[in-house]
Amino acid sequence: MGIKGPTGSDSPHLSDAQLARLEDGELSAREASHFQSCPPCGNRLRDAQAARAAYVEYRDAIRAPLLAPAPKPWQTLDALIARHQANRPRGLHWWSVAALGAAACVMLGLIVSALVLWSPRQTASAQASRLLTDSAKLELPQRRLISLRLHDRTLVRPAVLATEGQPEGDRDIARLQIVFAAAHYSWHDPLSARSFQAWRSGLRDKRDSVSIIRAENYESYRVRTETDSGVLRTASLTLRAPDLRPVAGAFDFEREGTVEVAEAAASSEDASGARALPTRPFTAPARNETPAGPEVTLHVLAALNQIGADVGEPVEISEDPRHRQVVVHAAGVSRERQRQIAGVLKAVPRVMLEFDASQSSLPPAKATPQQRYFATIPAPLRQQFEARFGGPAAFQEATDRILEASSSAVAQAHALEILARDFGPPIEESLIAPDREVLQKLRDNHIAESERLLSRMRQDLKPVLPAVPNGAAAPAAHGEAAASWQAGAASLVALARKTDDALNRLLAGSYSQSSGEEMLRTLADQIEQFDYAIRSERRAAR
Amino acid sequence: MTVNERVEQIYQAERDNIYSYLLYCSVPAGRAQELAQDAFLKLYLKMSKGESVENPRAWLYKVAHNFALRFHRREAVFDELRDGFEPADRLLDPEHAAMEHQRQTVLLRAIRDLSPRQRNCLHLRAQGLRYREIADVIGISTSAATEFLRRAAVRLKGIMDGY
Repeated sequence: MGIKGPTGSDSPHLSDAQLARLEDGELSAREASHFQSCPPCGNRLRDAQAARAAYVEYRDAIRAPLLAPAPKPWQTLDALIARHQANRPRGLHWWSVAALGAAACVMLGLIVSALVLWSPRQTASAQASRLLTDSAKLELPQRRLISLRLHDRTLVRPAVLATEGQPEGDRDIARLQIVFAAAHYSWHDPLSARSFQAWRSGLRDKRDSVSIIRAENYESYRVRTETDSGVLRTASLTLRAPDLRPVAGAFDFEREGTVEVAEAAASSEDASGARALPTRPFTAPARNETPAGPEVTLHVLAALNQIGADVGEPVEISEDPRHRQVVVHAAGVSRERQRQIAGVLKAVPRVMLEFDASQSSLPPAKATPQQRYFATIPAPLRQQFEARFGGPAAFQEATDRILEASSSAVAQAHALEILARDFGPPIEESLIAPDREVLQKLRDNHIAESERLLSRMRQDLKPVLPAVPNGAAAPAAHGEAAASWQAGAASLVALARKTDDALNRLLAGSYSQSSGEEMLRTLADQIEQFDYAIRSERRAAR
Repeated sequence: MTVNERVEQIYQAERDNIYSYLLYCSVPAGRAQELAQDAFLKLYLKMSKGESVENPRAWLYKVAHNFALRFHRREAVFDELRDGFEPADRLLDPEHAAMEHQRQTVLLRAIRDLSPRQRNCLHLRAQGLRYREIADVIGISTSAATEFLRRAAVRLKGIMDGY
């Protein structure tokens, strides 16, 4: 006796959906009983299980050995929670987020840059050692001053103390002194490659990384070392590229927070009497203590948009923990692309750009289509496609173009969604007029690009797509017009993805002749909905 | 068991899987680890607010998938393999090594011939997710996920029969 399939028609076998539910143990006893006595359904289930087993073999025996191990030790859940809680309300930092005179000056215009001096084969540790060794050879001015950020004030003192180990009168400074001593890191001369190297070489376990950053006028290298032993868990030293002079450092102590050290703005080769300068705490209002507003992110996006790096590239935009700077992190991009990104961001203030020092071996973001997609399309449908496109080669080329355009359309819609998320109506309203124009231009670019890509897809699909369906379906499927372009962005990206799925299934999947014909019919409707969503966004944007 | 203990248990059991999933989604290792940790932190924050999570594993994969989307600002090709990629030789006697290598080469080709979406679904299935959970992670319908998996099974069967 047959079982009602999902469509309601009598079928002698379990439908695919029923088989799936059977596998998941969600099928009713009555439906499942059919399986016991039906060899074809049993075979289908075994095929599904065999596919899973084959994939498990692939995953475990072939692929897993080639996956990169986690680069750092896993943080404990408690540590993750603690860090989250520490970062949430700014007032809870043990070390206040308040001013940092010269450190802010140094950090302030830092933008990442392309790199010149790196050998890709060098490991991060070797790079770190080489940089620190070279930096340690540098003769630093004796009267250099440094600032240390602690609590809600900034301490300025000589870079090298005249005497070592003398107890400090100030309670916080005394505590700092103890913490540095417990970490076996020189309190006497904290901002030096020699001290950093001495601490680093004494570690039993350590993980190094090197980043290249770019200040307004010079490049810098940031050497960062992490360890699981001792009280100093992470330390970094920023070395100015022209001469490898240490200009800033950050020391993350367990349970104490981060101490930031930087060359003081007043520090100069000619500073007189610095050696004898007494340790004196003071509250220093620093530049750029106001949080970096959304306009900084906006300008970053606009700059990246100039070179198309805001869409479909592994470029991540975030804020530093103190919300003072926008951090642009790019991983796995070529050096040439790094230079381009650094170039367009050079003019944007309050941006720190970070590239991985060692070039990523990631494959390019956009893969070149290599396979003959239509190998699995049922022969009659394939012949029909080939005939309409003008031969197998023309069909293949059109397929490549369509899938590429569809993938790009998803990326554009996604970029628009991110723009909508980061610049909701209240934020958009709060922007000054020129910035609002920048936002609108970016938004319009994404919409226009989506339109262009969809138009290209339509053109390429013209030989096989049925006549445009009745337009009434599109607004119905898309629902009410969105109240704002931000509100409609999520819907747009969902439709872009759905269209992309449909195209991938039709042109790169495997299916029966009847399914293919049905897919063609629904694809036309799908494209109409996507088109309607784009037009809605266009209207909402006006 | 407290929320903290429960999430800690899941964290210990699943973090490598979530991290690997992000690698399969072409997220670089350093970032993948950070995002994996963020996913568990999100789970903790959600559960500590008293919100129920029917299947934390599936939920974590969904979060990881969305992280990967956000990272790339587009849908990355799942488990993108490069040309020339071959199974590593294992320490077996020569006869078995040759057979094993041949079988794995065929298996690798078979997996390569699947569409990225089919690989993605199969990967999540191999991780023990239900059909509807797979659909939820990727953001497709359950019937689409079922179809991707069915086609993957048919293709793998066709290629792997005899090995």
